[in-house]
Amino acid sequence: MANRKFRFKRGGNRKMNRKYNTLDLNNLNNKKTKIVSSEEALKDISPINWSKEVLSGEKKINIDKR
Amino acid sequence: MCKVGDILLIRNYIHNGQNLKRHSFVVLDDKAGIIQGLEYDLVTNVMSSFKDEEHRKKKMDYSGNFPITHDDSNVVNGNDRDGYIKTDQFYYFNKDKTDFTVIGSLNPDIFNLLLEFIKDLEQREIIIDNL
Repeated sequence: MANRKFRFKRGGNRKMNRKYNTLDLNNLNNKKTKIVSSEEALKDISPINWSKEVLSGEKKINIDKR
Repeated sequence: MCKVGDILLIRNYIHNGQNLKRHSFVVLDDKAGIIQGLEYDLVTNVMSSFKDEEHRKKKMDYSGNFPITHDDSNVVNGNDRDGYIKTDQFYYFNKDKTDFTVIGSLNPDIFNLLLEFIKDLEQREIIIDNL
């Protein structure tokens, strides 16, 4: 797989998009696919330690483009 | 219930009798389908944090990782640590069999960028042992 350096484009005064696009399943299904176990897939993943407020449902996380 | 763009915390992630900790996932699709003969109604990517600077460099050099960093995104009520979404691994779930909580969401702008990122992937891994 080729290396891709990814940077967001700055939004500036551009109007925010409020519509979620749809995952293209046809595109996804055409990719070379390998089945792996959860254990294998998660071995390098560091779970995010969310705050107590988030875990209790008192606060919600919101991720937006800067 | 959850919808596209939501961030889920899956509480009962058990594989071969072992609890694999509480992992966070982004909902990519919430429509019912069949994969490898198994029914699903949730397609997700997992989220991860960086352990340290060296870990960050290693993970950001990998083309399948979508950054969630302070340089590029605002994370309201986050934990002040940068992380990434592992876009080349697709975890399939069945909502009825999964114990999850919606803990937040990605705004459409960033979610749509994530989909663009996924579109360019050359290969994928699928995780279906939760179905």
